[in-house]
Amino acid sequence: MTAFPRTLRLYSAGLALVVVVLAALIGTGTEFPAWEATVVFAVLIIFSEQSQVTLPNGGAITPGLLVGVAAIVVSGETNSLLGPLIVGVAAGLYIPYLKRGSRGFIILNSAIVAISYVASALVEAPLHNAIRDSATLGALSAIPIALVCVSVGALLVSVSYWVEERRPIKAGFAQLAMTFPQSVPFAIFGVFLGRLYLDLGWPVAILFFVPILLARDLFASYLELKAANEATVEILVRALEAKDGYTAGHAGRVAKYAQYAGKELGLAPWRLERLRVAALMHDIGKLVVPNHLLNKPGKLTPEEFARVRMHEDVSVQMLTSIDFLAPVAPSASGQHSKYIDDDPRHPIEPFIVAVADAYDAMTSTRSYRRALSQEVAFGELRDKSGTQFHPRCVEALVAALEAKREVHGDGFEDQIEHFEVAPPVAGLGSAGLGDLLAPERVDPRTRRNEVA
Amino acid sequence: MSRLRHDLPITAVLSLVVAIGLSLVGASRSLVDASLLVGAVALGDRFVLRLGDVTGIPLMYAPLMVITAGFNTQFGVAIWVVTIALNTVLSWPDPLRIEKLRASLLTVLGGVAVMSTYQLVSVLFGQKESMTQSLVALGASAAMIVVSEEATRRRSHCGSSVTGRGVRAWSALLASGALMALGYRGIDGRGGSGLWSVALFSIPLLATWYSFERLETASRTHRQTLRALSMATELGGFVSHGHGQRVAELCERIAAEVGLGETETEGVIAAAYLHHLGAVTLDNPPSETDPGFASQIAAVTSEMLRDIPALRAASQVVSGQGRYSRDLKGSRTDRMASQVLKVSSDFDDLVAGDASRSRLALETLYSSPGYVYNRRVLEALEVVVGAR
Repeated sequence: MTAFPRTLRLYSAGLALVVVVLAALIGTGTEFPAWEATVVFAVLIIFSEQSQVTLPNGGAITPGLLVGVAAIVVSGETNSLLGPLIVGVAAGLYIPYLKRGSRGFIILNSAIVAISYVASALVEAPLHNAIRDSATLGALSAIPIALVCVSVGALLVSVSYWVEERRPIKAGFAQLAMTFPQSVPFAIFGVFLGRLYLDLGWPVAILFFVPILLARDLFASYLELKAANEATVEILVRALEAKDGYTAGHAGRVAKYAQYAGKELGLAPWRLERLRVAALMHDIGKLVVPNHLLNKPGKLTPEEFARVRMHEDVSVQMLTSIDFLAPVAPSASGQHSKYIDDDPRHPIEPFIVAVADAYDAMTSTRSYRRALSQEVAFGELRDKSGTQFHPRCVEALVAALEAKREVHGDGFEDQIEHFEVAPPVAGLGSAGLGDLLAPERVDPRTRRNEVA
Repeated sequence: MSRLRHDLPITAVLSLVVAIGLSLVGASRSLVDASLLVGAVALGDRFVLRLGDVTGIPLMYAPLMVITAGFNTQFGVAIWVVTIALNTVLSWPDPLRIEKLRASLLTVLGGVAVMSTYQLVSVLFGQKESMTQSLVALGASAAMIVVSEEATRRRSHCGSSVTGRGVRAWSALLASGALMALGYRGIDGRGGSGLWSVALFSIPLLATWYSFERLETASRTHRQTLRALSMATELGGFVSHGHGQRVAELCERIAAEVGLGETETEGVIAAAYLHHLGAVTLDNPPSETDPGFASQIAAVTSEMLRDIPALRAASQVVSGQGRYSRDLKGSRTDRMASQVLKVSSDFDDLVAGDASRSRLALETLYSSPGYVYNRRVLEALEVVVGAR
């Protein structure tokens, strides 16, 4: 998130004023809360808000609402509204914002959560005896509490969107209120935590705390491992580039184009991630090809060509040895990712990589020819669509590039290689094997038949 | 010890059916609860907080704590015996085997020990139920759970579960179990929510289980990626087949023996897989028999790894492979880590896939000048390969 928008200052100052006035009214008008419980829940909610858990669908949840509802139930025992208000203010203290000194967001969030908790506490008050008496009624009472909490919060946030960028309040509210069904289980959980706290005291909160702290810890380890793996893939890409300077940036660009097409085809986030890694690693087998063969300027003997061609099988073998990539291992082979028919049993990723690979090969300058223009590359992909390339993948990549208004190819290259002998203007090629042509099609200037 | 199983949770389904039947005929609440807890244990046996590829801690210990605190000892033991017996007989497709029967018997005994511990501590504390008394009794039975699991693991030659990730797994499991138990029966008649609390507090436990699964998957993917890269040097003919994998395994065991930390060990393992990778980028790679092979390749490889933060440790390990002498830069731990790799790699080269040569290989390493190999690492190697 960037700097706090100027336009929001007045709005958050207003909300903060509301909170202060509420606090004063509540403080003079009603009972004081049980301080011990308020402090325990305030600390608990600060930690809960930091421990985001990322869901498989890419969304993120925090157990904050759970702790909030528990605090509301506990404060309900003494009929105090100040407890929920203080816990709500604590919920806004997001540590990364504190570190960056983003006071604006902290004030805004604290005020919004505090107001929504006070509103929920007002709903909880008439239900409090039912919650205390029966587990079933307690679970049912969680529904109106969650409803009020989510809708007041969503309303205040969607107003802030309107203030900031004039986004219609109704649309913003509808989108935010969608989280209501997910919040109900958290609220039920919170009601029970509150009941247990009232009956058994603070050790309950401590026991509850352990898995939450661990979740953070495990998540950090997970991120570390992800970074280490990312670095390992990066090493592979570097090793390839060190071997064969002509492919500088190739793996990264293929991964980028593959993601464009994958997104266009509506792949789920975890599949997009797998696609990205498979695309980065699609040339891994080239590591076993001796440099003198990869960079041989002249004609390869049939034996040499066979040796070089073997790299695709090696790539497939290597990717298959990684469980997570095994289903898309054919991505590493021109042979196996050649389009035959649209069989839904075969994952589409290898076809996407084939198209992305060919597109980058055509739009980059190679040792034996200049980059082609984007129109020629699109034309070539469409030409071979249905015979060599998967038609849906071709259309997805073209559509995505056009939507992004990205132009690659002759005159638009990110990284321009400078060759001692200027490459001729002709021919298609491949990112990898283009330099290592089959004996029968060795002269790049006359070759126009196959891409990749 | 519990190995991962993929059998059908027949016991769980059965217990649900029985519980519904019991409540229809108007049986007492504790009987219905007992029946449902049988199902909870059966399910908990299938969800395992994984500590490695095959072993882990089953979640069934959480419902065990509920049974321990929620029922009197005779009834609790009866529930436990019935559950384990049903689970053993019905676990499909595992046939009834002596080994399995023995494991089940140990599980039963462990449960009985846990329940006895709880009763004993409660009695020692006197008649009046209080929060402190409940917490101490639950803590004692939690400790008993860990002890009995450790005993079973030792019998089946699995590593200890009380290290690194295992400690986190136990904390989450036992804290949730204690919370479930407290919530189930309350204290002195107050605060009991029955099975509601078991169902609810299983949610954070399942979230922990999910985190463990995700972590395990990520760590497997990382290992496999490293291995795929190490295959490149092997298929390219620069080192013998399987060298990377063997050296990595050796490094992991030596690192444990010399007491390297978790992060350093990860660095050494990554370095073990990658330490020859530089060879594939050279135009004229030296032959493996060249005297300068190792140091030349190490220099190129470490250069490749250097400016990638997540692999900096590995880079240092690779570059420090040269001579073991005082003039090397880096901390003592860094030098130790490099030595672990150097010793493992050289040992694997000398053994060359023939286990009968390991004695000779060890002697060769020992007879090298003192500045080449660190004594402590050599001794650790000796322990690891079983020569000591």
